[in-house]
Amino acid sequence: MIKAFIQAAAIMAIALCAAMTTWWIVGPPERSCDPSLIEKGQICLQSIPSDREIVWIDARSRSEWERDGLPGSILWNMKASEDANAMEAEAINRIFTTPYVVIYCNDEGCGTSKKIAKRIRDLDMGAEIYVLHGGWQALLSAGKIPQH
Amino acid sequence: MRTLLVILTLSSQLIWAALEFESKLVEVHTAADAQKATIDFKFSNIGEEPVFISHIDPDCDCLTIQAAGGTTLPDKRIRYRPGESGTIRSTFKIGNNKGQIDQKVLVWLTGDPKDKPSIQLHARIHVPEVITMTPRSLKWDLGSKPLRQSIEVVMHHRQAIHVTETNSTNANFQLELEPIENGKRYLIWVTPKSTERPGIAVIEVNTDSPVKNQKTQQVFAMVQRPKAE
Repeated sequence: MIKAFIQAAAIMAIALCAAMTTWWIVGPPERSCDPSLIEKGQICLQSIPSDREIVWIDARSRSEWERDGLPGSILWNMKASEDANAMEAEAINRIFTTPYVVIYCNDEGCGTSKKIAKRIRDLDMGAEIYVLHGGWQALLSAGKIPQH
Repeated sequence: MRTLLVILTLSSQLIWAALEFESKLVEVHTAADAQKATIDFKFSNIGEEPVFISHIDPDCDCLTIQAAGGTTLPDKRIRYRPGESGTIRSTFKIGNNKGQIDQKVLVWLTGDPKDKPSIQLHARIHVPEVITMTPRSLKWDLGSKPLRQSIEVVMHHRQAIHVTETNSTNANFQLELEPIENGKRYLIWVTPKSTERPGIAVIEVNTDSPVKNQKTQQVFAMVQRPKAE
């Protein structure tokens, strides 16, 4: 009986050790967006107020935006082939009347949305500007992207 | 024996430490009219085990990536044997970007979690700004005195650059160009006719800049409600 307990305890200790090691190397398990854990300037999809008008900026490529961008979003990316002035002017005009902005690109690793957020913040328009945590993938998971 | 197994398992996951980069931050300076910038990250496998790069992603679609050296396996991973060297070349399409541009390059090795690459590289590109305009936005509070404000335009090119035209997209904002030093420095005076209603204008400044993608600049003028304290 005691031997069985010792063996069970040993197995649990090894499992705990392996779990802690995995946590240390891999990081915490993927969970839904936690506002207390995300970077400053980001927002979780569930934290976006439903009663506010929002300027959604799609920072992906034009072809991606045309294919499966969030309905009502506008395009602003850093592609060399795009007219950067025209994209900026359209966005700033929209933000002037609707000072709540959420920018998304493909996923968490994409930095274009952060760069665009900085560009808007530098204009000091008094708007609330956020980068969507999880990007377009978060919108897709939440069923906000129409399936064609 | 179990301890040995755990240690072996852990050490196999720590192989990433064997890739040593000459520098994880590489800076390049381009000409003002350059179309592309190439940034090379050189590395060697200093470990005793082969290292496998499973994929490399830029953080912007303006960057393309190529890995050189190593052996590409049928499953698209690239294997670097002990002592082998390689280069990750990233090419940045400059477009209308200027000033200091920071880009990340994320490198996943076999076994890395989907959202956490082992290696993060940083490319810093400096594209000379031949024209600077400050500030980039002018603001008047709603109902305030419609006093004129200025935008300073400074040319930083070796040859003179002239302002050829200024346009406002909103007739409420009147523009007046004042050359301070022709071809080098200008002031653009902006005066709202009225501050009784909110409004915004894109102020477009055209120049004869020989740097094509910096020929036209824009700033913003706006009459807006005072910010809440």
